[in-house]
Parts: sequence; structure tokens; C-alpha cells
Amino acid sequence: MLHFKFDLPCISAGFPSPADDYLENNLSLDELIIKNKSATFFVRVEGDSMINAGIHSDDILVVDRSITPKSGHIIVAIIEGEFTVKRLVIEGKKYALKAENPRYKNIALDEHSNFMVWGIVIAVLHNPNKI
Amino acid sequence: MNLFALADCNNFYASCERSFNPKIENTPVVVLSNNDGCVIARSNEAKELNIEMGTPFWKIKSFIQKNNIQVFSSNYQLYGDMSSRVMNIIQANVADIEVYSIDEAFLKLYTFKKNITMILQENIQLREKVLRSTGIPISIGIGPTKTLAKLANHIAKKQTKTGVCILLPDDDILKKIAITKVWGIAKGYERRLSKIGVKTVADLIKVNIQWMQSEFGVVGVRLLKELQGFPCYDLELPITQRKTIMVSRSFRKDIYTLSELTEGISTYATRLGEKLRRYNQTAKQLTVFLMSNPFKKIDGRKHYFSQTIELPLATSATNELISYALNIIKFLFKQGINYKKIGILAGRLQTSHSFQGNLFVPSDGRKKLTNLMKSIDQINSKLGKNSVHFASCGIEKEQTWSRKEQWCSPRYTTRWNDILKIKI
Repeated sequence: MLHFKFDLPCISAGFPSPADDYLENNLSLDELIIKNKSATFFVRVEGDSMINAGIHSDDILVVDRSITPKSGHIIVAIIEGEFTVKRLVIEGKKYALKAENPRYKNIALDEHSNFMVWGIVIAVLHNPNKI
Repeated sequence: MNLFALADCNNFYASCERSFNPKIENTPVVVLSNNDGCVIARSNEAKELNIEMGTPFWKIKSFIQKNNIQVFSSNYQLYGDMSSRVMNIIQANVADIEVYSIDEAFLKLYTFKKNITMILQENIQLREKVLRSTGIPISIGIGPTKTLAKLANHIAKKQTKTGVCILLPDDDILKKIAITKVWGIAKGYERRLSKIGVKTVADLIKVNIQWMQSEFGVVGVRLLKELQGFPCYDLELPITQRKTIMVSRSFRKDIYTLSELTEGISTYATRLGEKLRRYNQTAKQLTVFLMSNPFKKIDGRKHYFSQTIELPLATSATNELISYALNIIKFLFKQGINYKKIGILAGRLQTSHSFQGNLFVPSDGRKKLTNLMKSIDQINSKLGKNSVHFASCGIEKEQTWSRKEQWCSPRYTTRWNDILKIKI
């Protein structure tokens, strides 16, 4: 007597998903925020000098170093060898770094200041629930 | 005529450290090799203090303290990431690029409808783009051949403000450049050339080609032609398959016992397996070597032992690599020697899908092993290196062979816990 054994592939029965033809990629935060991957860096901030600009202590900033700084940009800067984050204000020939908290003084810059723009902040990652 | 360019990062490792550490901007910086052994990178300031490449760290320890030199252990996670950023920016601006090393790339510049000034300007802009985007300064040397581009890069670094230099074979500056600066001119060449009065590159360009042929053969002829502006070497596009993969490192302190060597070689065999699997390769040949401490000769001699074996089946499985390596090391081990360095080398590499079984091992019998390795790799990539490992590697804390990185900077770009922290 012969025995037959059938190996059937797994076929899901029923109606095929109507969404199959409309599949798209998942949403990616990288894709939304990062325009220039090679020039984009992450930094973590500590302090409340930029609180009114929505930058809290322990937030992560996404920084693009390739963008040309303009007046009003929130930037990562180096002053006298120290990193800081402030708003760049240019009025005529006068440059200043403005804090976004009345308890902090603005920093006026002149040609003697050892100052450099490190990058432009393009997003702030804040976890409001501290989860 | 198309042109070649060599883009080379200035003091690359030191520049990577500076990119995230403005305090060390104008101070001398050195970077040490694995295990903080010797100097492998120097900033210009450190070069001016006459710190030579390859100097063992212990020899200059007090000099470093006295001169306030900043010392860093090598942070390859950071350098690798910064390198790919620099190369990506260059690639986006130039059609053809050959990444030559972690900090150098040859480019082909198409010069159709462009004059020299335009080419110079474009490359100055490219250099500025890389500098602004990454903080890494590069120099670009341009010439009709790779050899001239390399020479132009040397000039760009030393003598230009823009960091870019175009060099043609009839340039007067070649009268002032010693032949030793030419790519591929070794000491022996220099001696034989100076005998016939050739000292500068301009002299060399005028040498008779038949003489070059008889003195140095085809290599010499190519060198001469390249210097005269006739390309003999083109870009080498995608790296051809590697022939060998090696994992080797120095111990922090000297090692005398077989049990410690066993743990060391097991750890390296593990790394080797990971590398092979990452590139989808298997090894048909395995070499293990042992070296004594060259700076502390116990019996007045340097010892070097090595043994190569052919494997019955090409493999990338960690357990198999370990067991072969342990057999070799038991065979090589001699009592009473202070071992400083060991290494393992995979040879006769094959791509892993071309596996051939034999009479004793059917090709499908290894499926289980492949799956096991895949699972181990997945776990370790999720939970961190060495989360699962073979027992012969020993226990993490007691390892003498794990890397010593006393002055390593954070992995600023590859680990969330290490990103730059800024007080605002």
C-alpha cells in the first residue's frame, strides 16, 4: 500500500488586504528633521538660559553645521573655548548672543571676541513627561 | 585633459578630537594607538615639538606633562564616523572618488569647459564645505596624474593659505622640491638618483626614460611618466575583495601563562568570526602568531612564533575558529617568555554562499551552526558586544587583553550617552 504525504505551503485563506497596493514606508523622524546627514550632530543641553525658546534642561538639540547663520537663528556657538547655545542677533555691524530667559545677560560680541558659530539648531527633542 | 585630486584630512585624528573640544584648538595634541602604545597622530603644534610618529608613549611621558600636550587614546568609533561624513560630502560634489584610506581620497575632476581658475575655485569651495559641515580641515592637491596630485597635496598643506594647490609638470616650484617627497621614492631610489645629480623633482622629470627603465624597471618608468603628466594609474573603484582579515593587539602588561593566552586568542578568534560574518566570508586557512615584548628582552632575544594551518572546511563560526586557534597556541606556547602581542589571521577567504561540503560533512549539515552564529550576532548587536560569548574568552573584568583606553574621548556621534553636553 502506498502512502502519500503532502507538503503544502502555508497559504492564508480569505480576502487579500485591500491596502496591499498602497503600502508606503513607515514615517521616519530622521527623514522629517535631517536635511544634511553628514553635517548633522546631536547635543544635550543643561541649564535654563533658553527656556523661553522652548529649550529645557536635558533636551537634545539637532544641529546642522552646514547652514549659514542668520540673525534670529538659535545657534551652538563657541566663545572663548566654551560651547553655548544662544540666539544670534545681528544689527548692522553689531553682533550679540541673546539668552531666552530674563535672568541671563546677553553677550555682546566685537572683533576681539574669540567667537565661532559651530552649528544651527534645527530641532529640539523634549520629553514633556520625563518618561 | 582630466585632472586627479587628492583630498587629505589634516592631522585627521587630532582634528576629530578638536571638532568636539574647542579648548584644545591651539594646543599640541597627540593620539595614541590601541592600548595607548605609541603616537599615531599629531597636531601641527605637536609636530613642531618634534614628537615623531610611532614614538612609544612611555618614552615621552614626562615630556608630554612638561609641555602641556593633550593626549588621547584612539577613538575609532568617532574617527570612522567623521571619516564617512567627510567622504560623503566629497562624493556628493565629485563624480568619481576612490577612498584611499580613513583620511584620504583620490578624486577625478572632469575639466570639460573649465579653466584652471574655475577648478581651483570649486575645490576651495569643497574644502570650505567639508570644514564647515564637520570641522575637519582638508587639503586638496590637483594634478594631471595621481603622483602629481599627491605632490600637490604636500604643497597645499605646507605652502598655501587656501589649502588647495594645482600642480603641472612645468611648475617652477618643482625645482625646490626634494625627490624624497615624491610618492614611491624610497631611500634606495634616492641614493641611486643623487649619484647622477638628480636632487629635485624638476631634475627627475628630465631623466632619460631608458635609464629609468634599466635602473628601476617598469615601476620607475611609470613614476617618471606620472611626474611628466602622463597618467599610468587610474582611480581604483570599489575595493576588490580582501585576501586576509587579521585581528591582533598588544597586551597591557606582559603575559606568561598559557591560560591567559588562551583567553586572549579566544577573544580575538571571536572578533575574527564577527568580521568574517559581517563581510559574508569564510576562511580556509588560519594563522596564529605570538610575540615577546621587544622592549623587555628576558633572554636578550626577541621571540616571534607563528603557525598556519589549512582548515578542513572553510568556516566563519566562532566555536570552530576558537578550537583551531587553541590547538595552534598550545603547539606554539613556550614557558618563560614574556608575551606582549598575539594575533590571528584568516586566509584563503571565500564568499560564504559558495560553501562546498565533502564526504564527511554534507553542505546542509552546517545550517544549524550558521543559524547559531546569526543568533549570537543579533543578540550582541542588540545588547552590546560580548553579551553572549564563548567561555574560553574568560570573564570580562579579569581580561588583560581588553583595550586600554585611558584617555579616550566620548563616542560623540555613535552613542546616545556620549553625545556632546553643553551647559547653557
